[in-house]
Amino acid sequence: MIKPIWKFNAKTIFKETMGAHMAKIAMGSEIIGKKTQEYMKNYIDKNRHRRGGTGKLAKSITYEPIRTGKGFLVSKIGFKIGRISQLEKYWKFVAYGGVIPASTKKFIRGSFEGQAPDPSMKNGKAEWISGKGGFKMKPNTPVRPIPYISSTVTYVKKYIRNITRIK
Amino acid sequence: MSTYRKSRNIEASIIQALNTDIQLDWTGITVEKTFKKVYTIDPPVVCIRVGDTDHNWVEIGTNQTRRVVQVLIDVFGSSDGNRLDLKDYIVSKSKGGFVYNEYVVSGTINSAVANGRLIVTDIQDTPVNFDVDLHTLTPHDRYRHQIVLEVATDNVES
Repeated sequence: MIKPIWKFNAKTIFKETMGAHMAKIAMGSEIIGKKTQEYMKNYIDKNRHRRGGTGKLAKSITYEPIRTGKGFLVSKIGFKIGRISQLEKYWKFVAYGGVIPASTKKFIRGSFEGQAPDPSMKNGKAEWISGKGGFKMKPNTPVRPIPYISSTVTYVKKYIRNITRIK
Repeated sequence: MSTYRKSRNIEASIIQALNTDIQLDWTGITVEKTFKKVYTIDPPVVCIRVGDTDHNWVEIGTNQTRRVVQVLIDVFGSSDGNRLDLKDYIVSKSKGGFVYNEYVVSGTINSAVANGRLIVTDIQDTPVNFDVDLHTLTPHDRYRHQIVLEVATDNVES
């Protein structure tokens, strides 16, 4: 009887070829995901329109890896940035700008450079500084946008283009 | 009299090109540069702003760069159909790029001399939905769309 020199095993072949690549892809995906998270948080912090603020929105930008499958048989690799249920309530108004609806508005704490809000000073030039203590105010003017979502998407596309050298 | 530098030339060129097209093919639409002013004008309004700018080195060893600019176009529609038609129109007009003009200004625009082109390398098209009842939003925020263009200049800068 002639013994086979080489035995065909699909699992072994898959593990040594695509399985090995999957590990590298997962590592690359994690690097991109964490850079994306860092970029978005920094963008929000650096582009505030007003002094003060709690920094809650930036802190709520999380990174979660996505990996479906078992062992080396992976079908999906990726990441999620920010979980909607955990984001600050006004995340869309900050990203795109707009007037927050009266029914959902809550008071924010702060002061006009140390002074209380005063309706007679409607077109005044003092800057609102958010923060603990101080006075309560409901904003009626449009929130100016901080385009952190579109800016991050552009950054990620550019980063992936650079590392894959696709123009 | 003052001469605009590159960033202002790029912004003014895109606003002028889109404003000219919109006034030609539509009626009752205002093109505005400042986000806050949009809320003092009845919709439909188109707001064009320039966002981040990247200066990409052309090659190692030189100081020459090529500028890539992010342009944010916010559409404030008067209805959902108006929003969709207007954003499709703007996307179709943006695909071919824009003429790059150099402006000399003294109060108003004195001259705009064409000098090259602005190339659109990427378009993102996103509906803006605030996930609240429409009747609670101001008329400006009910039917919104955002188009983000990635625009590159066709020459290098020293």
